[in-house]
Amino acid sequence: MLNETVFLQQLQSKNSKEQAFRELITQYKERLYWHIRHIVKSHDDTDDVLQNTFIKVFKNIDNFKGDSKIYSWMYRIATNEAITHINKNAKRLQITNEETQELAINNLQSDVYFEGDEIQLKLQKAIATLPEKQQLVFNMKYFQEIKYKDMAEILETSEGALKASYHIAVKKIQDYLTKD
Amino acid sequence: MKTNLNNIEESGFKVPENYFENLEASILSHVNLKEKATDAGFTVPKDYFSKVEDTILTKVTKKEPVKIIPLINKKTIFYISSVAAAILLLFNLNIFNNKVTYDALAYDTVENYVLNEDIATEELATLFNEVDFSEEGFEAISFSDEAIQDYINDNIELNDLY
Repeated sequence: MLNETVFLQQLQSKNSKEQAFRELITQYKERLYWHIRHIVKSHDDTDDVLQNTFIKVFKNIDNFKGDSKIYSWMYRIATNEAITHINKNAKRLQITNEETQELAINNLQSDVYFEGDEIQLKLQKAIATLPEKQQLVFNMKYFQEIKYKDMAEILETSEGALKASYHIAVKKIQDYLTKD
Repeated sequence: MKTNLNNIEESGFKVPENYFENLEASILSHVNLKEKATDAGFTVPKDYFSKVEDTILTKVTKKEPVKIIPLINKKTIFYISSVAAAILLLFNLNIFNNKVTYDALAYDTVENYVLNEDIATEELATLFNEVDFSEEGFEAISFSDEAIQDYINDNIELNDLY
């Protein structure tokens, strides 16, 4: 990709905005998709959240000052949008966020876009038992293999804290999977 | 004292407490987990990623039809007239300057008030000054025998006379 400053200028210039934005989507669509998918679980919900994320990026790119990298800013928007989506669903169904997540995992069994076996389903159930922040850290490290340095910028947490959080998460999941 | 390499026995590096004790467990749990499931099992619809740019760009670049708002329309005139009428009424009704005087009150109004408020005779008595009563005032009123008879019949019990 082009130098980030030049790319940002293109995104903020009226003449090149659309073309640069298309390039931005191409660069990040898959990474952000998988980041969101691991939070909300179903493809349809992920599609909604991904589109909302990019629409928000498009609307706010002119105010982006470049204090952080574009990709970490987009990851933060995607994370917030995904969590907001779960909260909205919980409110609509008048259940807690944890119950919403449980429901999403139960729905995976009949989801045509989930081809996981019994262990993978159990892994999702194990992840759901973790606190929200540990879930994010685990998903980002285990499935997406994001570097701690980048994760620290996205989640605005120190690398040390993230490493500790990840190891605790792995231990808890391992215990969950082997308990019966 | 000069620094001599032979005097430096340690590098100064340290490791977190219990690092080596927990290392095996930490690596093994990660390896074991990876052996069980390398991915989450999620899939995406065919061609989803090749179409997503167009889907999003169509949404963000969709031009909203420009609404033409006429400067003067029926609705605006209605609102302005309502506000003007309300202001005019406020000044012309003069509702804040009306002072109520005792003379302006009808006798019936006062009578009804006294009856409805259930004011005791003693309370009423305190409202009158001695000067309000003069013998002339009473002399001027004459009651017919019939009225006196009716009053006695209606208000005085036989037992009260004993």
